[in-house]
Parts: sequence; structure tokens; C-alpha cells
Amino acid sequence: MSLETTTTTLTETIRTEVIGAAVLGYNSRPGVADFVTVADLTGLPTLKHVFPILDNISALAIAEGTDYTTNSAIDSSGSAAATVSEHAVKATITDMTIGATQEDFVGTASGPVMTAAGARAATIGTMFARALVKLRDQDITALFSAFNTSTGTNTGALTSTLLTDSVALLDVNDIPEDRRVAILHPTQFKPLVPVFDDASTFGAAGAQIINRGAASMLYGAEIFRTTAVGTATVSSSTVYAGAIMHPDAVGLANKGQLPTVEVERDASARMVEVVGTGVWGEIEYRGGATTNGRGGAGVYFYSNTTNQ
Amino acid sequence: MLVLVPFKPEWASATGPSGAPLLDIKAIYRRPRKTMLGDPILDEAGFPEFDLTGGLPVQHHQKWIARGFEYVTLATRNDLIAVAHQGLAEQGVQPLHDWATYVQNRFDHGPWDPAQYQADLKAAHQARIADLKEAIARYGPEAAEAMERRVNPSYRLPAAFAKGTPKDETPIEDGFAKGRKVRAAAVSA
Repeated sequence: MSLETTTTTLTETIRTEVIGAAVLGYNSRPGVADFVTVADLTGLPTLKHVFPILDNISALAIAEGTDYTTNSAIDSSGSAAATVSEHAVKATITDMTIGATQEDFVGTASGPVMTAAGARAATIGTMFARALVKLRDQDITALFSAFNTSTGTNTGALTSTLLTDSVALLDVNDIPEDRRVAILHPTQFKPLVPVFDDASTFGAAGAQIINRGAASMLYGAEIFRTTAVGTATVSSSTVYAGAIMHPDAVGLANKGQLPTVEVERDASARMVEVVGTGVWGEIEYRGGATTNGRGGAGVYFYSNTTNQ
Repeated sequence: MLVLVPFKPEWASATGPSGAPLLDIKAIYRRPRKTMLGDPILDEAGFPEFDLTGGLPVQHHQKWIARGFEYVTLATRNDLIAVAHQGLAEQGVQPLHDWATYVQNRFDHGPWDPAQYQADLKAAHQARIADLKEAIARYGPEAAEAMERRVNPSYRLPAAFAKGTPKDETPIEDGFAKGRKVRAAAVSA
């Protein structure tokens, strides 16, 4: 047999590879900002948001027929203020790249013509948003290790006892029971799962934990696991700095859209700059001292990073 | 030994043209350990114990200082690069010129290495304990406490620590008497 048509005779026309659809890299679970007190400064002629806190005032007994002259000042000196600042991410893409990729990542099918709206709607806009949201979440979780109230273990894993201790601390600080949240690193939460996944003891709730490997709420606190939780040091041991808190513990001021995407072409360099910007400012709002009822809304909840 | 990035007050106070904070950087602070009632936790020698925070925003530096926190060093490589940016000079902030010398963490190439810092702290603490014990042995607990208070005015020497340090019974030589003897010998010679 001869003159068969094979991959060799048509070498130049055989596609060397097929590239599958691109997927985004795995990222920390977003959403810590959903569990704090948020103020929106969009459209307002200011960069600063003040979160006022009124101190508690006291009542006293008084004898009949006497003039009550003791004043209780209405005091807001414990207020917190967040000033926003810029955060950005940038990509510079050459003309040769645009239109030469398997997929359109940047919002333009061919040539160097790119619009901000197109970029924002495309893959690159999603990547910018994820990067900025992750940074914002990390800025928020970084405040946990500064909370005045704290409990945990620097030598081992979290236990249900420590969990109830932290919830009790919020109760002692008179923190409202609604909307409490436990923001924990996944490594912190892992040892708690076997405590509560016993279907024979906890019935349907325990069975659900077995199925899902996670609990949605424990002791009145919604459980939110994220790798955005950072580390700190307690008694010379490295710990994950999680928190059990009320949204009042942290204040977040946002301004503008996240991300705000701008596109600029550099004709001489034959490139396009794509910049994504987020403007926010975070502040420890009511996680400080409990003076006159100001703080105590957050409990710094820590556990060892390795001894689990 | 971990070289700590020295703090510059303008990092916390400098603002940009819009009035927003110029630098959004994070730093490691150490916070004094306290009981539930707010009393400081002290070690056996009466020295305060500290925990370390994560990266706290430096723009709230005064807030952390008011809470008793102490600045240690910058948190990440990005923070180090931010304070070394040459554009800061135009905004009235002196850039950190030798920033590369503070890159000491072999994993993230940042300025902060908690393990090294703890090792340095332990060595310094042991040296401090040894100096205190020597002072107690030579001069007695009251004098040792007074010497320590020159550095730390609120320091109190625990009685148990002082009792556990044996007193040095070697008589302290009277230098003046020795000098008189030497001069007398020289005169007679």
C-alpha cells in the first residue's frame, strides 16, 4: 500500500493541541466584608466615615424631695473613624497578545481596542475583583489580633469548650445575640467537626454535618471559614487569629465601585494598561475595651497553627 | 539576629493630596498580656509578657499605642517596598533607602520572621534575667529593684524571685582603703 493520507502527510494542518477553557486559580473564600459594619461613601464629598458610639449613662437612686443635680454626659468620644484609601491591581497587555489568545480574557476580540466596560465584564475584570476582595478581607481579618477580649489555645486545637467560652465572653460584654459570626481559618474549624457530627447525639443536624463536612451555625454564631484569616503569636507560639464577633466589631467604609476599571493605551509601546482600583478603609469599631459599653463586640479566637 | 525596621512617625500621619492616608501599610505590634480583669501578666522575674499581633494598619498607630501596644517591625515585603518608594519624597516622607537589608524571611522575602524574633527575644530575656540575678546577689534585692526602675519605673521585684537568688557573700573590696595602703607602702618605701 502506498500514498496513504496520514498525520505525516498533513503534518502542517494537524492542530498540535487543543486548549481547554481557562479556569481561575483557587482563591480564599470571599465575603468577610459581609460580616462587618459597612458604610458607603460613594458619591459623598468626603474620604472619612465616622462611626459614632455613645457611652452608657447611669441612673442613681434619689431621696424624696431632693433636687437631682448629678449629670450624666452624653459622650461620643469613643467613636471610631475610617478613612478610605486606594488599592489597585494592574495588567499591561501587548498588542500582539490581544486577539492571539484562545479565549478573550480582556474584553476585546481583536486589535488593541479595549474599553473599560469590556475589560470589567471579561475574565480580567473578574480576576481584578477577586484580588481586591481578597485584599479587603485580609485587611479586615488583620484587625482580629488587636481585639481587647481574647480566648483560645496557643498550644493546640479549638474545642467546643473554648467555643462556648468565647460566646460567653460576648454575652458578658452584653453583645447582641443576633448576627454573631465566627470567622475561622479552615484549620481552626477542622477539629470542631468531629465534636458535632454525631448523628446519634445531634440527630438531623449531626447527620447534615457528616454529609457536608461543615456546620452553618454553632452556639448562636454563624460559621464562616476562610483562608483570609492571618496568623499572630501568643506566648511564643504561632496561632491562627480568628474571631467570634458581632458585626459592630469592625467598621468598613467603601467608596465607589469595586473594581473600578480603567484602560489606557500606550501607542508607542504598543500596549494597553488595565488598572482595577478599590477604595476602602477599615477600622476596629467596637472590638476594643468595654469602657462604658463602647467595645467588646469581638473576641480574638486563636489556636495553634500546627498542633491540631 | 532579626533586624527590625525602625518606625517613622510620618508613616502614620502623612496624607496624600486628597487628604487620604498616604501609606496603607501594616506592621507587627506586640501587645502586653493581661488577665481578664486587665492586670498585667508578669513572668517570674516581674517582667511583663507580650503577645504579637498580625499586621495591624500603621495609620491607626496612635490607637495601638494608646492601648499599650508597641511597634515591632513592618509586616510584609509589600509594606517594606511601599515605604522605600522614591515617590514618597515628593510627599514629604523620607523613603527607606536601605530597605533590602531588612529582607530576612527566606520564605516570603519580607522583613518579619517570627521564629527568629522569638529566638532573639528569648536570648535577650535570659541575659536580662542573668543581669538581674547578678545585681541581686551583689547589691541586694532593694538595690537591684532600684537599678531596674531606672529603665522601667513601674517595675516591682517579686519577693519569690529575690528569695530564690542566693546572696553573694564575697566582701566588696573597699577601693579607698586599698588605695591608702598602696600610697602608705609607696611613702614608706
